[in-house]
Amino acid sequence: MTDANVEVLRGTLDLLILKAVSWRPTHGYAVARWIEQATGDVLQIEEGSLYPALHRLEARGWIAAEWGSSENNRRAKFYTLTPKGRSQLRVEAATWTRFAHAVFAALEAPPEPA
Amino acid sequence: MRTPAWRRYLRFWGSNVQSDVDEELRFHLDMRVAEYTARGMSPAEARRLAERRFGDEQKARAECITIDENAVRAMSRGASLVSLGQDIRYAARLLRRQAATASLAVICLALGIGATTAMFSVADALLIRPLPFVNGDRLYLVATTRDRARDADVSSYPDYLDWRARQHSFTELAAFGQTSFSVVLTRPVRASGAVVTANFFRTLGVVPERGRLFAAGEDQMDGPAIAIVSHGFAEREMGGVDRAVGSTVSIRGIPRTVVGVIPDGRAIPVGGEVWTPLPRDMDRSLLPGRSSLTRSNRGLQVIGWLAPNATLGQARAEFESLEAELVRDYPENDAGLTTKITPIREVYVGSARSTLFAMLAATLLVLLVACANVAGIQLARATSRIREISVRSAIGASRNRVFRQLLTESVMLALAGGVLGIAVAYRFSEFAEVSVLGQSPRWLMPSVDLRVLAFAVAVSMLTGIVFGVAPAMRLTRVDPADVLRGGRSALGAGPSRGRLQRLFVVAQLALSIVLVVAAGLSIESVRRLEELPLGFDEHRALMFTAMLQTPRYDVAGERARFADALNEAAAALPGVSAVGATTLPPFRCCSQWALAIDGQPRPSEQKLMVPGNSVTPGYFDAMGIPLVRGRAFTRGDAADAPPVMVVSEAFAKRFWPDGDAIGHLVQDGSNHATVVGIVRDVKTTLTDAPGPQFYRPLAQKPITTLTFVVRATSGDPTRFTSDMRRIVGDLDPTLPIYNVTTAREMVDAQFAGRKTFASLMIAFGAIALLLATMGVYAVTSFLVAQRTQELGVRVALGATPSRLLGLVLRGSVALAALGAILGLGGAFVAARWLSHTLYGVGAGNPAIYVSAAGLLALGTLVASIGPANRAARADPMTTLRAD
Repeated sequence: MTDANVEVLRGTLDLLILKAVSWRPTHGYAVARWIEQATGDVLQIEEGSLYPALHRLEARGWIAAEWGSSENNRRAKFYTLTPKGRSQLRVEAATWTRFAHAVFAALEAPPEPA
Repeated sequence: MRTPAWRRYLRFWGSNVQSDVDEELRFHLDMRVAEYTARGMSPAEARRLAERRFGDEQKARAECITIDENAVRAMSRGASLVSLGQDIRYAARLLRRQAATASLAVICLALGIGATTAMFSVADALLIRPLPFVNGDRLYLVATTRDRARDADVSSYPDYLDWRARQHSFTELAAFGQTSFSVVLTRPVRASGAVVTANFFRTLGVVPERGRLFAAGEDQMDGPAIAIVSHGFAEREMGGVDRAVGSTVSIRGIPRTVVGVIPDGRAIPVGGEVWTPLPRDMDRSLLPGRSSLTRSNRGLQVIGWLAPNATLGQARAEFESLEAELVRDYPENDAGLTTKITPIREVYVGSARSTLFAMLAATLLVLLVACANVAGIQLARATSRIREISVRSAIGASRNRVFRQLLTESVMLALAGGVLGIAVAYRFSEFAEVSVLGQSPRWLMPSVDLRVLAFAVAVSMLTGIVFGVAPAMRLTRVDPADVLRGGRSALGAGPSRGRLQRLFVVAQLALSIVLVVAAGLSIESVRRLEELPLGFDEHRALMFTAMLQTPRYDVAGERARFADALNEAAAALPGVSAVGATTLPPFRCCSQWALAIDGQPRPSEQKLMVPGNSVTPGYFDAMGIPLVRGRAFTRGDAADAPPVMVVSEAFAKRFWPDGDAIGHLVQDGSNHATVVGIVRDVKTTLTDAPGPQFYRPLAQKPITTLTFVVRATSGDPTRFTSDMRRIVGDLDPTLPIYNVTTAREMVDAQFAGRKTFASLMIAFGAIALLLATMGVYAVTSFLVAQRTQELGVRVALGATPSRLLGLVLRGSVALAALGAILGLGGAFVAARWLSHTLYGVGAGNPAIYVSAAGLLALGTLVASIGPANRAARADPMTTLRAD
């Protein structure tokens, strides 16, 4: 895994976090684990930047936090997607997909005629 | 309603940001360690790996804390808005429930705020709002003066030319003479305006709307016959701005081409309509055949546009040395003259200032009385509120929150008062204008605009806080446990009970006595002015003015012939007892003329300047000016007859203190006129004793602008108005007449400002006294209610009703006495200050002070009778059971 792969663009990290908390209240560790598994361990996010991102999204009102108890009965902070966050997720997912398609299309394009 | 998520979160989370972040991060690391141990690593190894996996923990922690703390701050701002909303709703509910008290308070405040706002609108117009001139802030009036206080701000044309050639302080220096023009279009009209130097409009910064301004060199004696008109004049009289430019109009009987149109209200005079270049028109304005552009004729005004790099101090110094040169070069004319440079705003505001500040002070006193009154009302309500407040603090409302709640109530009361006050201000500002501004130019008139409204709102808020703080502090200092246990005795026992309220009442009484004394002094001042002799009979006399400016009247004897013909035609009307004409009607000041008394030494260097007046033979009868000795003028005092003069009593007394004035010779210009009669002194200003005045026959000294006076044998003289218009039209169809009025109206106009000032002071005094009386009633009722138990005990112990009555009344009298002592002291200070504004009354006017104190005592007594009666009827059985 090279450093470039680890450095996930911040926008992408936000998008993945929104997706990670979109089903049920999720704590930070679970968010990290989900991203690792869902991307087949390709995107090992830097955990040091995960938490500031969570708090930033919370301050923006896209996700809400509440303390609850975890699967092993410890106090943990759970994040849920707010309605505002859900529409943000839709918008960003669409944008990202369009972006990815465009990059793909460019990479698949035939060589430029001389 | 569901609580929003963030509020639940806020309450739960509190401000414990740091420990929360720590706990969250610790949880993450522990989970990671558990994961790695499950994969078979040793705990130490697992922890090391987990930490490496996490990266910079301290940095992440710091970032999270910063983000959360900012979020908490933002939310608490939101939360305080929410609680403000609650406070307002709560206060509104409460005030609705106590509608009577609340509306009383609102009315008090409306009067105070309304008066203050109206006065602010006047002060705003005078002192703050920009002047209508583009160069307004750097415009100055430059004048010569003989004695700094009294002289009008005037200069002579040669002086102006010398200044302009030598000075450096002003970018532009322009001269002008305000005047009126007779203009003939479809009908003769009188247009106000000025004769001006070519650079006049440039000095003011006026930009023409159409056409051009006067060009350099057009203000020469042989310059072109041209004029500039205002937008309004072009629209109204000349069929529109576009048709005006280039058209030819007869102004003062001379056809002139209109070269430009300027916007309304941007030049001097601000309401002006016509301007012409200076030397030509100036030269023809007074005596035919005699130049009036001499150094001795100080009839012009000079304005300067101060250079960007010059200061007022430099300009003053420069002009002082310039004038010193002129005094040396022309001692016979300029001796004794000094220069005076005044900011243009000061010229307009001038004398209004002291009245303005007196009124501002008065309205502020009214506002203070209103505040003290409402504070008293709020304190009285405190008694009934004490339980409610205690319950609220007992169930967890913070002291801060309660304080804010109470203040919100006060501010809402004040704002309600402010809204009503704005309505009061609209009504009131009309009176304020008259009393402060009197005859100031129209554009200085205040208007209640957005800025004034903003002021009203600001004053209301401030007022709410001022009268709200004391009661709120009082209430929040109470210990809820005490109250809930012990009832109202917890409000404090013994003599401190109601001390604050009594203090407020004393303040109200003291302030209102100041206002009552001020009102008394204003009335006394007007009364004394009215007692002064006018020197003429103001009843049954119609007056109007005509300008004999056209070239036709430059012919010798023509002005007198016109006046004679008019007098003759008017005298023939049935019901007319006398007709006459004058160049200087009463209360108009001053054409001063240089005189010399034959046989008396001329005052060294300085000329003897005396206001002079040319009149027709019938004038003294028509104006009702009594002849004291000798004779009045007759038809025989014609242009070619020996020159004669009638002088005023003050004139005679001054120059012939021991002998008879009649028969002596007085040199007026080139004539040596014989004094043939002495008449009563006529007032030229309301307050000053008339100085020496003299009269010459119009036939011997003809002047352009004549005011005619028609005296009726009985009844209303205005019935002659249409007859007079017809007679003037028959004699000269190009002649406009204006200023049609009666002598009575002319006198009333002089008194209008002072009378309005006095009535406003009376209104303020009355309002303040009424408020203070209400305050006495409120506090006495409150104290009686507070002492129910004590009174009951006294009755049980044998006190008679009259003793109880006396007990309560004694308390009120003590309040009144204290208020009176403080108030009379304040009134004495205020009166000394007011004596600058009011004519003839000083600080010492015992009768006024005594009556004010008497009014106060009466008010206090009336206000205390009701509560005292209640006290006297105290029933020991019910009162002892009461609590």
